[in-house]
Amino acid sequence: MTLSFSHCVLAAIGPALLLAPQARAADAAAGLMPGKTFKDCEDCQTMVVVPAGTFTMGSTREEREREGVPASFGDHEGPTVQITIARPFAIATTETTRAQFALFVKATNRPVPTVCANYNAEQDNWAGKEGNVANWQNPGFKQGDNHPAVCMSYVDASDYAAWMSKKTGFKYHVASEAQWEYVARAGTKTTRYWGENISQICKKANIMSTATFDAINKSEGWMDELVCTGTQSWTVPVASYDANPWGVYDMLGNVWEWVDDCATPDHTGMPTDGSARRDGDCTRRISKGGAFHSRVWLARPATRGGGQPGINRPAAAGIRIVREID
Amino acid sequence: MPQTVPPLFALLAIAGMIGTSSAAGADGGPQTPAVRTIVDCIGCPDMVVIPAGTATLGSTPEERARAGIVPVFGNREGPTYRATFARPYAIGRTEITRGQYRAFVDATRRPDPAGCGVHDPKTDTWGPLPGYSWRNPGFAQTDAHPAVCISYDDATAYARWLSAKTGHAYRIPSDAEWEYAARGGTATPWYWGAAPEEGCKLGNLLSSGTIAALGAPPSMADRFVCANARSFTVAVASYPPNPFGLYDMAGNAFEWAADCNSADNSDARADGSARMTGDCDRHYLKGGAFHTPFWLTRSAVRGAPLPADLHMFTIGFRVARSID
Repeated sequence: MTLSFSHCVLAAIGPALLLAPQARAADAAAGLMPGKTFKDCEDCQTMVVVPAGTFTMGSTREEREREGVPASFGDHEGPTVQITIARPFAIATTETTRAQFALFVKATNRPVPTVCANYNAEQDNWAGKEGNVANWQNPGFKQGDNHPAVCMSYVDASDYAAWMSKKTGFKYHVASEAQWEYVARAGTKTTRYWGENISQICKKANIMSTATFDAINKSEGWMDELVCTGTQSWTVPVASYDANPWGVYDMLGNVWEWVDDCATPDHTGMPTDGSARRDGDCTRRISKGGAFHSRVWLARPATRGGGQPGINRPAAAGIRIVREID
Repeated sequence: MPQTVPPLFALLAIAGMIGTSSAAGADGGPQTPAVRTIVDCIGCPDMVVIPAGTATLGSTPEERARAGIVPVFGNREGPTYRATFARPYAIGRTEITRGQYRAFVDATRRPDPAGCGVHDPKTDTWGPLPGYSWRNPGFAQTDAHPAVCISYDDATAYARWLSAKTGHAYRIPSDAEWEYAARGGTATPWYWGAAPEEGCKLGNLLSSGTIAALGAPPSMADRFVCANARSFTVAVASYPPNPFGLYDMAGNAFEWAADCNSADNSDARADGSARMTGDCDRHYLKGGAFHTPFWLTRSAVRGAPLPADLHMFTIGFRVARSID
């Protein structure tokens, strides 16, 4: 992305003035004010414009203690860092669906993979089963076309975004971790966007339920975990639950969403402009948001998976794309 | 996994003696502090001596907001108040078991209640039904499970019987005594902290097994439960004790507090004694049970006002005793 001269000058002045009047006028002219939804083509994903702004990324020790986040996980979430998103951007209102991913596969003759790290009942883990063919078309559980595409690798996600860019002429990306968390928080300062009422999560997100627990044969690994009563075992159609205040669905739960950042142990040295980190281990990528089989404490905006090889295809991993607004 | 920590120790102690024990952590980790116990007779409840002290009881609006507690319940838990226990007292190490309750019924020829409140899956309500009692609460129990279908009147009658039998002043604990003992020196919503998650390994809280056994009632949709096959009560002391050495202060069976019902804690007594004036036709419960939403198992919870002769298949009790 090339920055105009006025952007550079304003960046030097300070965050409060970052959204230049000229830029705002240009966005307004294009109709892309925050809250506006659009599609760049008939079968493109619906995108919503989110405002420029500042937020605190990561979690405090207090939050992690309150939520019972084990240190092995939670230590990745600190220290908190102030991020300033200088320009509005657009984010897909939903996870990329199977139908949407299928269009990409068809258009690009992309081979269908043979391996997906799905639930292995014999070993009671999520490492998949040697010799078992599994992929987004057959992840080992039932899905419809409007369910999120699963068994996605980071490479699948970034290739999909690149294809979207080529197809539309706009700049699509996998969301940066900062962009992702900014949208998941949607202008709120609480642990989750609806506030601190933790049990609301059972009505707000598709996380581990009694049905999931039953479907994985009452797995020992999940025994005595806190789950929601429910009848949905795996993914649900995107946008089955309420949107967050910015009109975005399923930021928590349903599927993990890859972000663009190279893996780092924590937020130390995080760029503060909302861009993706490039200073970590770029063979590994972070994922956010928790999924249909996640424990309660995993489904928080601050949660970041510890990072894993970007070529891995976890059964519960999907895609969330963003688009630049020029 | 439930573990058996030997309350049997107390049965081996000579009646009337005060003993001391310390239980190793489940994983061989740090030892729990020494627990002083009193057993006044063979078969009497194992009583734990609770140290004198001062604590803040009740809950803050922040705690209630986080727990998602409905205001009709939540406002009863506030405001927080300071209670000072000038002298040690003793409280039951466990809920009164069915075996202990049976001894009382047999000795006093106490008639069984006309019925007991159980869950009716047809209407998804919890009304009283004839034919149910502590002998048959609608699910399988052994004599080591907590006695349930116990009314406030039953509980106080048991305490009077035990007092007459032993010559010591047994009673139902006051709300403050119960909560001070449940907190075990902690100020967090549960003695284990603020995260409900950990409760699944520390007490018999609502589980997927309960939901299945109750026929997945619509009234219990979209709420937290523990993932396990347990359905109803478990034997007392199946889970680790709290910092004071007490078992099942969160979950398993609801427990009566001695206090008369009141709107909230603004009339709480600074000396930790029970409020015995006001709405004394009704009393309330502490500790939550195997079927309650998670927020009902916090230390500060005051259950809804209930008539003294109400029997429910989730309600039991434990006793307290003054130390003279």
